[in-house]
Amino acid sequence: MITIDQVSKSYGKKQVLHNVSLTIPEGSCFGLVGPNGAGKSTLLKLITMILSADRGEIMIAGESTQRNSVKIKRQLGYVPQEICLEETLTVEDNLKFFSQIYNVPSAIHKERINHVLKTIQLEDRRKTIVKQLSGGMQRRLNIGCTLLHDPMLLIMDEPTVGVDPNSRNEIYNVVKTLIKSNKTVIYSSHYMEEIEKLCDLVCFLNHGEVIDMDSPQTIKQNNTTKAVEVSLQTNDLKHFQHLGEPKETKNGYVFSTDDPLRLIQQLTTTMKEQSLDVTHLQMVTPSLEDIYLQKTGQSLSEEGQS
Amino acid sequence: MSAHLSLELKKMLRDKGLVFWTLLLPIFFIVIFASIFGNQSNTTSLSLHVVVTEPTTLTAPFIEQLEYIDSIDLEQIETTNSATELLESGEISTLLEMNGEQLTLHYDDSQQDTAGALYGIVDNVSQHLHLQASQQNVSNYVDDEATTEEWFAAPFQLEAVSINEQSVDAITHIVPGYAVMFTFFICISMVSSFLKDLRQGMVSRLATSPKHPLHYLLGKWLAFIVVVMLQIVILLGFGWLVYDVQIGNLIAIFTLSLFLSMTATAIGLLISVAVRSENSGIAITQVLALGGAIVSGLWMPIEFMPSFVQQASVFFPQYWAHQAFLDVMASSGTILSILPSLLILLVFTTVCLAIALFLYPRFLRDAA
Ligand SMILES: Nc1ncnc2c1ncn2[C@@H]1O[C@H](COP(=O)(O)OP(=O)(O)O)[C@@H](O)[C@H]1O
Ligand SMILES: [Mg+2]
Repeated sequence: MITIDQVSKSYGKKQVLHNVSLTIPEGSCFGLVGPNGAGKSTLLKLITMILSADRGEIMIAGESTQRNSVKIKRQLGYVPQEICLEETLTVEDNLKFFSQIYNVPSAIHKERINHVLKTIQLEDRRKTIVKQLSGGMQRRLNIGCTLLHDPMLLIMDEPTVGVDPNSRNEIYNVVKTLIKSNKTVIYSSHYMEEIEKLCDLVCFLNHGEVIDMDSPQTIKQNNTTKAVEVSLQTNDLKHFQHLGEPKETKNGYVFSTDDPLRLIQQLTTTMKEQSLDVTHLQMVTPSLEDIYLQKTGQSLSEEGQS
Repeated sequence: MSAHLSLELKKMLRDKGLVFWTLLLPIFFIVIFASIFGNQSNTTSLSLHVVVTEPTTLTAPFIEQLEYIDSIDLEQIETTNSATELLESGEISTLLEMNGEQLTLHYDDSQQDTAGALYGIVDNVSQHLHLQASQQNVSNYVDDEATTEEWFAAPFQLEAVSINEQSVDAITHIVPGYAVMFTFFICISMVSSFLKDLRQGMVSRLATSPKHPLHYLLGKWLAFIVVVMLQIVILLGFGWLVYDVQIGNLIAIFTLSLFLSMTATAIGLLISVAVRSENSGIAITQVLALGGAIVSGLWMPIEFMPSFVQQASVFFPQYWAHQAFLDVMASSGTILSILPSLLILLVFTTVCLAIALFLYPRFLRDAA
């Protein structure tokens, strides 16, 4: 179990994490979600002891990270957000190096490397120079390099960032097999659909603060705010001003409400009055991403900050 | 540590820039400077052309005596041209005309120094022949060879001794000079390797592993020591194979190369953990490697330098390393005779390593 208690962290004058408290049960897959600059990487670097907290304490399996414990590190696998490999060397050279770094007995190097190559689906790329791999393959090798010592705690910082959807699916499959193997996984991303599919717990992080933390189902149940989607022309929006500010979608506009039936009634009344032609009217339940937006007023995919 | 050592060596094996900087460039310099200064010792002999217009009985012994003298490159010519014509043609610059008892030394105005020296030598030989003849006459007259010998004994004995007790030829100076100079360029490779690890996140990634961070620092250091050792061996080996440079006592050379490698790479380590941009690393290395090369006499024997430069040279490891190389290679020095230099290199190494270790935690903090 990992407990994070009242942790704060600043870079110089800029405070990046504010009193973060979390509990991550053993064997769970914990999703950390937030837009760029939310403080995900910083929090993961505190857990992996790359950084130390200004205030608060992090305990992993009963040991404080402040002691920089080697015992914890033996069970820890950290996949950095950046692809961090020796790019002039082969796939195998990289795996060999990390086997040595993680004190894997040399008698079983070969066996472990083969096993990892299979897991990350790069068996046929053993002798390829890393530079010549595609971005998605490099990402998988980036994960593979932390699997050699078979860690119980796996921390992955945006392992799918910056790759095409196809490669993303392949990485995603790798992660799924890892989750099944009973490890505790901490997975950060700004793609909510990944988190929703993979994780049994999700934590919303925004501007260094925990906004919400629970299982995806519970979060959805607790945020039952419903909405109605309707296909409307932009010119006709003016007739619906009394129903609140709608959000544009690819099918039209979405109006939020606590009482969707009443809203539908109001919508149809206005349509009849104005004799508007509407092809599509639908009640929608919010996705986790919508809930995040509602809670923070910020979209996950907002680009800009790192 | 061995993980880092073998990883670094594998990386360097594929680094073409490193091969260029550590091997090709110094070899290029050695070849260039060897061809400029390498045959200096031949040019020091004076060339003299001799033309005999009217021989006497002493003409042949006279020429024979002149040919005996090492520093004279004598060529007898037969020509009908006048001395002035010959000199003006530019083919020859000094000409000794032997017309019976009359000897005339013609010389080109630009060759005054040479002519002066030649005049002295020719005069000397002529005096010598004169003295020989006189001695013979007196000996015949008094009919007592031993006494005559005594009478004619020279009042002074002259012996020429060069100021450099070990008359180092240019190549023996150039090969270790450039070897020492180029070892310090390893600092550039070290800085870029460390900064790349820092920027790419390798340093922080390694911080999450159970290995102590010193493994990283010392493993990399070791790899660079190995590379510089190889560099010195190849450069000296090149001098030995191509220019016949004497290597001297192998144990002494090996130990010296090892100590020099440790010093150069310890300085590289210090720069690497201290700077945060590759450019400042390159700038510091250039100043150190080029400045040190000049001040330490790697390019030009230290005796030719102004005295304040000679005094400053002791603060540069290059000076101690180079002097020790010369000691072993040119004056058959042993490990004992270079012990002071080895100790001083060790002091440089220890000091740089200590400061590097002191700055290392800051380097690690900046990794995150
Ligand atoms: N080394 C650093 N020095 C200064 N500011 C930093 C540093 N690393 C991150 N930050 C800042 O901290 C904030 C959080 O960054 P980060 O933890 O990387 O967020 P995320 O991983 O969620 O994108 C950002 O505003 C970022 O600019
Ligand atoms: Mg991040």
